[in-house]
Amino acid sequence: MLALLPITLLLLAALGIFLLQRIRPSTGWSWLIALISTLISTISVILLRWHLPQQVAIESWLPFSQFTDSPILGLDGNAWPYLFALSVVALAIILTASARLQYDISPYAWVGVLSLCAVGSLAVLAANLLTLILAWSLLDLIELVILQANSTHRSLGLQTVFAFAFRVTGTGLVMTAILLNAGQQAPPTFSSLNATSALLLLLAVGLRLGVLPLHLPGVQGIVLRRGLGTMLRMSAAASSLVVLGRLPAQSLPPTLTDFFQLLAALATLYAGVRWTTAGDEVEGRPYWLIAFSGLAVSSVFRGNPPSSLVWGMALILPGSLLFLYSARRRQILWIPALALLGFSGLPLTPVSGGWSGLIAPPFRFSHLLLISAHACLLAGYVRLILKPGDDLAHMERWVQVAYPIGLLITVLALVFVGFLGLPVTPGMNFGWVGFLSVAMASLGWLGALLWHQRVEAGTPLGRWYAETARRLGRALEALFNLKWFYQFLWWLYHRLMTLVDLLTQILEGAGGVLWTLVLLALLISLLRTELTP
Amino acid sequence: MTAALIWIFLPFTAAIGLWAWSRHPAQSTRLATLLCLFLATTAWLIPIGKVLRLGPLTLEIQPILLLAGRRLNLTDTDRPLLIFFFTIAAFWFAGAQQAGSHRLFIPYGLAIVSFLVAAMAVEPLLYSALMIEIAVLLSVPLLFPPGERSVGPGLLRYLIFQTLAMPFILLAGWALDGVQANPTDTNLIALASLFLSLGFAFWLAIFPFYTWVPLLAGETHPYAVGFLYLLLSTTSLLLGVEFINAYGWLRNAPQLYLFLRWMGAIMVITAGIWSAFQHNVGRLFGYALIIETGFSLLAISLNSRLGVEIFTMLFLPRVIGFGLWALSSSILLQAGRSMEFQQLERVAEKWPFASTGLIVACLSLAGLPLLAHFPVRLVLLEQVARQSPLLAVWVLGGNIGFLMSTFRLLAVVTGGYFGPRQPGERPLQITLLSIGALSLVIIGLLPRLFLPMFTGLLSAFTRLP
Repeated sequence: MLALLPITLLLLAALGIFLLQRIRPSTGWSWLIALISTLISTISVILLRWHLPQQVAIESWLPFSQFTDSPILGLDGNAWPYLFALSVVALAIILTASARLQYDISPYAWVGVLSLCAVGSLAVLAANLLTLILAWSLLDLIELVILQANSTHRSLGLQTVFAFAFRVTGTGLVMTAILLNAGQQAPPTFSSLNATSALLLLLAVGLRLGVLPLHLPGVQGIVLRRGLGTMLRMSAAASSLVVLGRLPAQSLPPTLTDFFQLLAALATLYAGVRWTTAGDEVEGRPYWLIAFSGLAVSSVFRGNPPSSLVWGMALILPGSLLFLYSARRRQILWIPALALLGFSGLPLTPVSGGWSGLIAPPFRFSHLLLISAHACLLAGYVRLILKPGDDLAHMERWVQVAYPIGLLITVLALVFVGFLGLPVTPGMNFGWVGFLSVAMASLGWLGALLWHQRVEAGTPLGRWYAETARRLGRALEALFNLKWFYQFLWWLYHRLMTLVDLLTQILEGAGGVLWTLVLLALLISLLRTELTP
Repeated sequence: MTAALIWIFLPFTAAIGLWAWSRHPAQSTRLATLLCLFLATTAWLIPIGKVLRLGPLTLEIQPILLLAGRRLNLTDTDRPLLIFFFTIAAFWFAGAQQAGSHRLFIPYGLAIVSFLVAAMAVEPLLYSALMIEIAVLLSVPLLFPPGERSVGPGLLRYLIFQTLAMPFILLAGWALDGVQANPTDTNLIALASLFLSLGFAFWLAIFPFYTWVPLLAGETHPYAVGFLYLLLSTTSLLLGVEFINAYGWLRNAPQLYLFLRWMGAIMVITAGIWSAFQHNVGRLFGYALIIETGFSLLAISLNSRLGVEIFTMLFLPRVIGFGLWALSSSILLQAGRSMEFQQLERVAEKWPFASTGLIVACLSLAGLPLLAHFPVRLVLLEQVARQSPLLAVWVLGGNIGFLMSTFRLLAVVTGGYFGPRQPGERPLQITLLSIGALSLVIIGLLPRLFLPMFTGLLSAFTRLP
């Protein structure tokens, strides 16, 4: 399968850089190898657009005589956009790394970038549930190792384990879906999922992305900020989001859909608000991921899985641009501004097609929440691109050329994929929603400016406003970040632990043998009816 | 020359010799490892009951040895079994020194292996109960070496339950003789079933008779307990399969498979839930053994060719997983840490390889994808789900309970500076741990290459599906 070529190339390049660093360390050569490999990889992925679909099965992976399930990798219209976006992000990371050389970037980080891109691409190509489980696990284990190796504090190590546990729980949900499908004698493929299995898969994706239930999917405060950190987050997001587009339309059980839809909308709005108020783009990165993932997940809840691709692209491409936008200069501000326009949702912009999957009539309250979340994302993006950063003007000439190119290709990729790579093409339908979102974001900006003027004036009323807003914000934050929920779960776990310890003491204590006999009698009486033919 | 002389009496005699030589643990470890490797290779190369010509020499190993009116029968179909037992023993003995096990571990371990092989070979089959009982009694100084540590309640519970198995199996023998004489006597069949069920329930530590497993695992040296649990449970499971193979009425009783499915599921679910709340690595290992036994019972309960294949393929990941766990824990124990979670806090900083070995073993035992246990468990659960989806989901839930505890362990042992620094392990320990961890990963990635290794064990059970 041709789709495996770019992945193989990236892995070989990663190995090459690793060996080079071991034998004869050279940042320049390593950067060049990384650049050439990601460039060739991106070009070959673009060419693959005209060779869809492709599929390869790893025959006889399992050693059983009567069991035929095998891992299957497939490139189709659903997987290609994510494959393309990941290769573009890898290329952008390498190009923009030039502007971060002053921070002693290690070429080993590029080894990580290339490997993660390759493994993330493999996960994107997963064409059945078995492959998905394997690819997700590989990605999770690599992330665990990278994060543990970079954890300098105990709290970071713990966060890493929590994040890993959430992800593996998502994998557990996919396994449950496989078992329920097997119960109906159906194969573990996306197309044959029954309603419950589809919902479980959607919950697994929501869990991995941090949407359902709301939690921060990554590790905060770790040293992996721009390059490797961005690839880490984007490959994990792409590997999960691609599943949404593969779910059969209208496959979810209607009884539970409304409830989860509202939860997803609330999580999206919360993340949008937190993105707007984030200190910088890296601090706000998890909220960006949650908010756009929430929009993608909501599209599926509304029975339009292909629309999720649009939001997935908006998450990866303009998001990566901002996260890599470390060096700033007024002359290149138009690049992030173009990206902003790209995901603004205005008619005929790349993301405008996504509204049709999100805002389908009849009108519901959750529609308003989702549009507000999108407006928050726009407002926050504007605020963050205007913030000061490293001064690009004082960097070497070649950096001043390579760095903007790295940023620009993400915008070009969004345009390319928006018009040529997505099943939902940009158009005029629901154009009013884009205008509404932009208007809400503008009004928000205006309100914020007026607010600042009022507060900075220092009047008693202004101070009261500020204090009230702070308290309200804290209360809402405490409610929506769900820490209370996780604390409750922790409390419950400890209570259960006490109970289990007590039972263990009884069973293993002096009277344990007698208790065992009592349990045996109980078991026989329970099983007798079950075993009687 | 008879097979029993080579594979039962020779190792037993060697065990006596090594016991006398036990003041030199390094040499006795090497000798025992080489002997087990030799016995495994011999079983692999030399057919039993057939004439082998080596130039002018002819060699024939007789399968049967008559002893006190009983037969020790090791036929050509038993060769995979012999390879299996002696390879496990060699594997375990090879790491004994690095694990810091007691000097008596090798002689007693070798003696236990010879008695367990005898248990598989003895005819009538019921006398295997006596052989296993001898092995159990021999395991006492292995678990609690004289003068080293005081005997705890776990050992007493272990002795009680394992000894209780013997009369039930012997009584089952009496009832089975009656069934063969009068196959229509349903009362006798019911009685034989009851005795057999109870006997095997004690042997295999089936719910609710498994309380001694975590208790004992928390009291003794991890390497000794790992060795014993692995061999004892494997022998009991294989004997169970041999009983099903031998008695047609048992093999054709649908209730048997229903019973096994329920027992297997209950074991995985209860041990999984219990393990989620553990704070001792030793006890956690005990629950891992219970879960493993539960999965083996589930595999047999499928009553199909696929089920039997799964049953045999569960062995390789188990052997390596238990081995890696035992070695890692022993190294941490040598480093002055106890098996309590509190004592293992940030242990990865100084002992990164032992910590990684422990975590990889636990993750594999929990069935994490990409590791050795996953492919077999996935297929097994899918097959169980085809018959009872809800039960399969519950079993998966039990498995996740064990995984939760592994996450807690991971959070305990890591969570600090984990970058390059001088590791606390010795080079040979690092090599062994790395081989173990890599093996689990490679088997998980390429199951087709490695998992069928032990399917040869099936050749001894010709009447199974």
